[in-house]
Amino acid sequence: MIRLLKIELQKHLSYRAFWLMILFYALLLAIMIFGIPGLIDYLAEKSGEPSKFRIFKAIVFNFPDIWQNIAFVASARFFIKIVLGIIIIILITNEFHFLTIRSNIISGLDKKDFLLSKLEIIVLLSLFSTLVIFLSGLYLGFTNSVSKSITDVFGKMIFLLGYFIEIFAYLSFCLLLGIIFRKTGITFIVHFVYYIIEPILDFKLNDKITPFLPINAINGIITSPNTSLIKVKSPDFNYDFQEVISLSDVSLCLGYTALFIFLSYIILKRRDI
Amino acid sequence: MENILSINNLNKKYGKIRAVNDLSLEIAKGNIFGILGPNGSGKTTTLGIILSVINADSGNFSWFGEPNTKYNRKRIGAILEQPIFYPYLSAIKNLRIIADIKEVDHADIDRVLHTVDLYHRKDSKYRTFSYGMKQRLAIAAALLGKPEVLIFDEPTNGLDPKGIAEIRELIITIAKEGITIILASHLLDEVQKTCSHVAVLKNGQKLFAGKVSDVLNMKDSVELSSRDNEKLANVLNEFPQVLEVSRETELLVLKLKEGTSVFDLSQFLVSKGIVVTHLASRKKSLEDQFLELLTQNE
Repeated sequence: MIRLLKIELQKHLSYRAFWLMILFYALLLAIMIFGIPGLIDYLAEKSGEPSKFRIFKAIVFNFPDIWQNIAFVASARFFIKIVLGIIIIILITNEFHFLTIRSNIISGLDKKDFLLSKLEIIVLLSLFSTLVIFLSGLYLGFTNSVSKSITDVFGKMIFLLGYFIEIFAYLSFCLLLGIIFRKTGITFIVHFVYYIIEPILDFKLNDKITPFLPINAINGIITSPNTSLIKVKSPDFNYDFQEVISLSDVSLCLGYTALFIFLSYIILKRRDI
Repeated sequence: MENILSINNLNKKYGKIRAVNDLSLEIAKGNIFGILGPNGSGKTTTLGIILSVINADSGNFSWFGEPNTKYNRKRIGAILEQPIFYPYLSAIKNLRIIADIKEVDHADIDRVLHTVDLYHRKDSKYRTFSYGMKQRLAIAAALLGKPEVLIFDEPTNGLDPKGIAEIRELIITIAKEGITIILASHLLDEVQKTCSHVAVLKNGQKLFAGKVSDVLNMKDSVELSSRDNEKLANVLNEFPQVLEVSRETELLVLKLKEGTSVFDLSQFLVSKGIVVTHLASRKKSLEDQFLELLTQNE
């Protein structure tokens, strides 16, 4: 396991494009983490009613709800996690483009090892991303939260685990696309076209089916933010905000992940490379 | 002799084309085994199958008398078709990845870089290399960990004459260390100069397999001429060991029965009082044999 990860890391650690993408991802996150509180402060000053905004800020960044809110924003399907998806698509399609998968196999990896090494880099990126979210949450929470008690700080941290599972599922999806289509450009196109198609399907199909669509399923663990502010229900606004992570959502997401990995393996195994 | 590689009834189709057609081969330890055939004869497909990057439709193969696993491939060094490396990594970083896959100590990297004379460029990115250097780096990678078998697919393809000579010399040097070498080529000259054994493929089928020297010794001929070729031809027809006399512009070419030497012929002519102006034994080149084999199987 460690050996495969070591081999995999050597392929990427001197790859400039890899670091540029990671840097881009970090930059976007930094803008989000430092920019949003700043933006709220700015709006507060402009509006002439700064207290309202301050209350909003305190509620959104309040422990423990902050974990759910930050995980919700970071895992949004059209948001920054796409950068991680692009990294994985580039890493896997490069192996086909440069034919290096062939030299890996000839040198003594088997196809299972090859897939495993890619899954390990996905786990690593998912952990990295979760760690960044965790540190951002700590920072934003401690600078804005009213409550700083240990139970509140660590409460709802299960949402970080939910975030990790969602990211891992999404990156496995990108890996599968890369293995199927092999060419970087085509894989990007398929990825984004499907990202447009699925919301259309979501709109047309029965609501009973839509949660089972793949992109919905792998984004289905963290479904809504949760703050005491928006829990107010009225006849026009009757929405159930998510309080806990549901085991069935997690199972569905993990089920899809297993399917993506299984299909990746079957395709690699059957195909001449 | 111990078999390094046994291939049994291998088949591979691409659509309607039979790239490999019921191919069986045995390669013994220490052989320098040439796989010879025109482009598209199934050489690379066969090598791809025995290196597990191409799935055979049917048939099987075994390395070192064992079933095929990734562990066998760690004992093999191979170049398939073209050098393959991560272009954005330096030579040494590329070799480290391969050494780690093969579970070979990194200390061996310097040795192989010296062998192919690339040590001074070890920190240069692969994409900055000329084609000849890429090819040499591929050989360095194949030599990592002192493999028991080396596989070269068209090793001199795309090289200039100097590069070709260097690679051949390198292969012959390696072969002297007793390593089994499998060399696929469409260049007869290359196989003739480097190989001990040869298999000839055409349309995925094996036409011939055996020692290169056996191919070369098949039915040699003798060319000769004298002041009066008419008379010479008449006398030669009396020589009991002659199979066939044919005329070329200034020469007579004759095929002799097996075991007859040029000395016997010369002695016969002297006894008949004939003085020749030219007498030479004509070794059939592998090329002639090869073309003959191919046309026989048209």
